[in-house]
Amino acid sequence: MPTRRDSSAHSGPPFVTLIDTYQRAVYRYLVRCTGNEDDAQDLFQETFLRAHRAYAAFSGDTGHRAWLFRIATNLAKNHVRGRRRRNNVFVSGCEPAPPAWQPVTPEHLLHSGQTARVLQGLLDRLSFRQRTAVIQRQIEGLAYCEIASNLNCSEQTARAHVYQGLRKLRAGWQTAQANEERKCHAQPKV
Amino acid sequence: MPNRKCNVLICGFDEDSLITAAVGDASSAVVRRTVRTHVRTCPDCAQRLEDYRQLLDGLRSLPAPDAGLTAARRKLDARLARSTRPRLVVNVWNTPIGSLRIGRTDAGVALLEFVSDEGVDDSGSDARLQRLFSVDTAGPDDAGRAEMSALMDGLNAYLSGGRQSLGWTVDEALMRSEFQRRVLHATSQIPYGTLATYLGIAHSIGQPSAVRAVAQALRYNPVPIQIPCHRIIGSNGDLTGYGGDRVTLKRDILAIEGIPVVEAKTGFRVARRHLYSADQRLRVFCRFGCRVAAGHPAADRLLVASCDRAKEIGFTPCGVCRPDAEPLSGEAAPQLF
Repeated sequence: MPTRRDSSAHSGPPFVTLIDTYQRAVYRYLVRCTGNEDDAQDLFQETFLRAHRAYAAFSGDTGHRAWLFRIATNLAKNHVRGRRRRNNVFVSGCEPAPPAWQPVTPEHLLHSGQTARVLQGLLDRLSFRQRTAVIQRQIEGLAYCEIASNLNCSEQTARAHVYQGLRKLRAGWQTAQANEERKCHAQPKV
Repeated sequence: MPNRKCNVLICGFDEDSLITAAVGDASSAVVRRTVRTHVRTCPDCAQRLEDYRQLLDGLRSLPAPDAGLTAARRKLDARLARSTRPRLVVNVWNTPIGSLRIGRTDAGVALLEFVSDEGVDDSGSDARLQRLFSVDTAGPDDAGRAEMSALMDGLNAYLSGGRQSLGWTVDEALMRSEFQRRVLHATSQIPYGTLATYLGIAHSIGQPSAVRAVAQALRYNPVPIQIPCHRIIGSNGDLTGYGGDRVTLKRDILAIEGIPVVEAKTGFRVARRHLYSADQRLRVFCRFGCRVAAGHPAADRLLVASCDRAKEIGFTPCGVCRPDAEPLSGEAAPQLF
């Protein structure tokens, strides 16, 4: 039985190779963007399915990694927007339904020593563009020009998003630490 | 107020420079030197720089969520397998034997259909193609045109007798069952200029009683000519049928290969008196009517168009009837095209 290649016109590597190479980075990115693994799993599949459909027509102007991150970013953006909208829906006359998705509050987590979850909670509080810019630059190591292309902005703006995001993260980190210290010294309320 | 003023710290230093130094973006050594000099004298900024460094270390050392990745990859593979329909490029060509519809995938030629004036006969075939492939009937691009002309060259050379096979790579995607695949593989082994029988194919795939099933499998041959189902005839010499009701086409294609066909009352049949009978197991060929030929088992028998062809394939002449001593008359193939 002859094997079929995954895509026809594109002369790049087979699509499976692309998945093997970038799956970890894309998945990690989506987990950081969305803040939970269930959503990230769905978006991960959707990212590669979309990429697979478009792979034949992919011109290869940008690198494969930047291209996949662009698809992932767009999907994550839609997803976050949809989540916000879903959480705002409630029936008039009734109490608003509790949100299906609760952001992780860093203050609650710091005392348990889970730095990773604290940082994830702080990331979740950033605006979408700042969050994706910080993750793409500082965790995934994309160039500013690639981030700019993913976020449809200039390189300067991309850099500003990263810096602004880092400033907010630092401020959040400080607040979380200060709250924790205060809690340690205060008597617990009964 | 200009934006940059927001980033100025109480000590008058620019916070962006601190971040630049912390993240390692600084292409300019000047920024790094300025920051280094400033933090020596300003403990607030030194602390702030350290905070940024710790923050970045924390971000970079976030644990990789690999456990979920395995599950996500498994689901992705399943969805890709379901959603992947290979592209089939379909073109219609006008050839000396009529209009042909040819479908190519990346793996090779998957489809060759004879198109009548009313269009393709098999009405279910289009729906099946749509289900199995992403069918593209658009005009060929540059790469496709070169590939198509190579296929055309193969076909034309075959039809003019200059080549013994089309030389196409076959994509087996349109074969309907494992049984059909085995039948078509066995059929592919029948050499140019020879004939085998439905019975012989049934024997060669190890199902000697499946003669009619073999015939049906060949009727739905997705790539005729390249898979030479025209070289399979009835045990009594009848052409039987071809692609439904195109038995005259079978006669024409056999004529290209030098096999004489006569019209009898019951339909077309090969002129067996003008062919040699070869035993595939013993590798011997005889004249029709030789007593050795009478002993050839039907399952192993091939009919060969000419003495030379039999020798080319590797058969040795029978010592009794000496077919090579005086070749049959009328061996020359009639050229139709």
